[in-house]
Amino acid sequence: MSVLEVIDLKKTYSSKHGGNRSKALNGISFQVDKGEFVGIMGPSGAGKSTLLNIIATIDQATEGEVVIGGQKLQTMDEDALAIFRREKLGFIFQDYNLLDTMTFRENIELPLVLSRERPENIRKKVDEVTKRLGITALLDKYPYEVSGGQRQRASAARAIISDPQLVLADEPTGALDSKSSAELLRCLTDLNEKNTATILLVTHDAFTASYCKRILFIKDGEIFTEIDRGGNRKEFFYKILKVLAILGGDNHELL
Amino acid sequence: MNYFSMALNNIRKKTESYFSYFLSTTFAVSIFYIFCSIYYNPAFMKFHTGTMKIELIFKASAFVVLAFSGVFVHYANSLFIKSRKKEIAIYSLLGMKKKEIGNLLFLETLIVGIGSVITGIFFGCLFGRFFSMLLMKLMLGGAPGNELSFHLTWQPGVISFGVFLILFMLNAISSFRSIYRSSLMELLSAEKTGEVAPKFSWRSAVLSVLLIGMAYAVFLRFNGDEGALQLLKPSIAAAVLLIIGTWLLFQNAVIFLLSKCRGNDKIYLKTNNFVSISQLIYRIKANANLFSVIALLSAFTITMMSTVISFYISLQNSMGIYAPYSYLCRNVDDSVKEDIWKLIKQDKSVQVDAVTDWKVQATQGALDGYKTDTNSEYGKVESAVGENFTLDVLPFSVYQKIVKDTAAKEADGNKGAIYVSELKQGECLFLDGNYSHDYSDQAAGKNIQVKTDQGEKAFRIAQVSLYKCMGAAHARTTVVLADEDYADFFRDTDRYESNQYLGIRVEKPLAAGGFYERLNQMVPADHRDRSYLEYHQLLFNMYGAYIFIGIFLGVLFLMAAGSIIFYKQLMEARDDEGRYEILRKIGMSRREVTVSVSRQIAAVFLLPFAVALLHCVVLLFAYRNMVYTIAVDTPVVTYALMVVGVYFLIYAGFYLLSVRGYLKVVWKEG
Repeated sequence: MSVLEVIDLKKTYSSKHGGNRSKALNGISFQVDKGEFVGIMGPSGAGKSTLLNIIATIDQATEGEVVIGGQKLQTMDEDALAIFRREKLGFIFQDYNLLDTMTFRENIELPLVLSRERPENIRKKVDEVTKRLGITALLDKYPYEVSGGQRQRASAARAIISDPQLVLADEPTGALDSKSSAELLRCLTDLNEKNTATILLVTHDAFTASYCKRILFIKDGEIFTEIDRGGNRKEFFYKILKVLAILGGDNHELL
Repeated sequence: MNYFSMALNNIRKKTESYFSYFLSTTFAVSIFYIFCSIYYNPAFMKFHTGTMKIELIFKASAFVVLAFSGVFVHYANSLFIKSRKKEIAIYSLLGMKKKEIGNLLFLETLIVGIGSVITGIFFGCLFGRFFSMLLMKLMLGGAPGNELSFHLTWQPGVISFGVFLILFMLNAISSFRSIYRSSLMELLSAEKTGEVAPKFSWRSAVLSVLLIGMAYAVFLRFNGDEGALQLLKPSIAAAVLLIIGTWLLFQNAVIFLLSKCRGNDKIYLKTNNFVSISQLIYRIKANANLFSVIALLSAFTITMMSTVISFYISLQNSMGIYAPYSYLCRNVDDSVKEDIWKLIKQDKSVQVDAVTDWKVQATQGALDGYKTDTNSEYGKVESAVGENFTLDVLPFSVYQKIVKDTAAKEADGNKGAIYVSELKQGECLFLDGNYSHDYSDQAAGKNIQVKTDQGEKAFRIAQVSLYKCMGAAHARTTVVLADEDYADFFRDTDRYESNQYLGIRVEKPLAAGGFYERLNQMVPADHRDRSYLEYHQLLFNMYGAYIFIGIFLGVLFLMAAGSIIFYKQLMEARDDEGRYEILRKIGMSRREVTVSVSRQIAAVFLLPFAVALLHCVVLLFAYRNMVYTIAVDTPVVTYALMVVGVYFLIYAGFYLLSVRGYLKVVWKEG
């Protein structure tokens, strides 16, 4: 069953006066099924962020359709989209996006509170999720009191606490050192395998991408190619490097 | 582009945030100008309040306005600078020298300052005459007076301009300095990380409640028997207690309350409360000072305005207590009396309604549980409870004639005249000379022992009142006896100290100035009371000026309080921008953001207001206790409610403005 369906998505930016149209997305189509862990890669300016923003309902497409869990995004107004976001989607951002006015516990509780869950359920869920991600001891800490890796794990906890249909991760390891990155990615893999969370991860880092099960490569607003992991992670990593070499452009980002 | 145009441009772009600052400072300048112009207006020089000249009161008030404006402008300015740290950092990153940035801000502050000074003076000029006339009207209170001639001098304008220019200069310098001192790193990290979560202490929370309770207790013990000077020390002490208590309350008790909310899942884990409570807790320590200032300022303002208004409005009603007769003289020679009668007949300019000529005999008396405690023409008199005291005796027929001639009102709260058609022998009416009925409350039905020709004689008190039939100045506890009793027991006039009074009541007591003048020429000064007109002037001049100043200062304080909170919210909104961005991404709908922001700001506005109201209730009670001296019930509660209502409306306006401004920033529309 497909959780996400992107059909012929186009996005054109035009300057205010109508001239100078530039195409960010040029007809992208793909599907993500339930329980998949999909990566999206591509050089800078390929349209990764635009694509993710449209799927995240933060940006609107010029043409084409996005269907998440059977619901078409285009038909919803702003408030409906907000409710959709908190119930169906989970987000992990590069810069964590945790509220510094709240403790970890409160940050993680937030989506459930917004969905008007019962207080007992909220407490139970938080305990469950934080245990899985190994941050139970940090619940009463404020974001600025802990490390980046721990923050990103809290952010992951927040993303999955409402059991979303799709977790969107935008360069989640972008601000982390390699050790924290590996830890976080193991967590995500765990969530994907044990809890069958569907994850869509955008990155330009081959090491991060190698944790995915399938990778879509984007170039100039179109899908360039797609590869499956199949075997072990190391082999997959070299496969990715190869594709990136063919893609060209930004080899310096490979290491 | 030079600095000047850049500064102008900045101001134009920040019109909304500058607007309320501009409005408040303009208002302050206008008030200062108006007060100055009143000080320099010769028309007001002849007005006195008691021993103080009216102009001096205005001079003092102008200083209050200035001092207050100084604090306000400084506060608003430093908030401004803080809120613009990022912008300043960008200038700095782009390679602008600190000196240049400092110059830019200096110019901005100065331009807005000069703008508001000029606008303020303009409005001051425009409305100055109107307000001077209003003041004149208030101080005359219906009495005739000279028309206010148009009077425009240079002093008020020059002084206002100079004084406020200096004030804004000082602020401009301080903003220059604050930029100069901060490093680029500090400027860039405008978002504070690591603000320590507030801890509250039980001890301080309890202490705050105790201090406030003590202050309340002191205020509530005030009563009008003590002179104003005796009240000065305790009231200052109580005010200090109140200030410290309020501050501690916001530092601790409020934090305690909020953490209780946070601890309670049922309250905290609700969509609409979650974000607002966490934001409030995050800021509470920083806001505590602001809250206490706003609470105290509001309490003071509301109390001041309600008392001044209620006092002024009840003045007309109290005239009867001070001057039941338009003109009253005592123990004048027969020849003078003849002259007076002649004048009354000849003077066609006045319509004399009644003339009463009566004798009052004073004797000693004693009543269980009663004592006198008065301060009048007879000096300060205080007797011991139940002991002998001096009292006046009047026959019932004379009493009735006085009541009829002075058209005395039968007022509520046993302060008016007692209307009875007859008085039995052996009974008496008891007119308490005190200012409150603390001692005579239980007197009705008791027997009073009065020294008479035939020794001590008991009379049953039929009714009691605080009614002062001869006016407050000559009031002494009076016993009204049946005519037969009076004839029987007070035959031997030599035994008693007696006074012969002559009271004249004219139809239009305020228009009879000339008549009083002519009477004054006949009656020696120590044989007459002030005329109705003189009492009227005394009261209305003083309270007319007070109400005028009270309302102006009140509105100024209110504006300042409102715009300070407004600023603080705008500044915090800029701080919260990113947070709401995150919340929006996570899926908080526009409506939910609106509700959450409205609640958060409502708490910020309502917390100090609630405390202010509590303070007000106590202060107004204290006021009521103090003013029972004027024997008319001042409807202070009614006016207080009106003032609170108006205050609340304006305050609510600032609230709406704040919510709007905040949301605008959060949604990046500003």
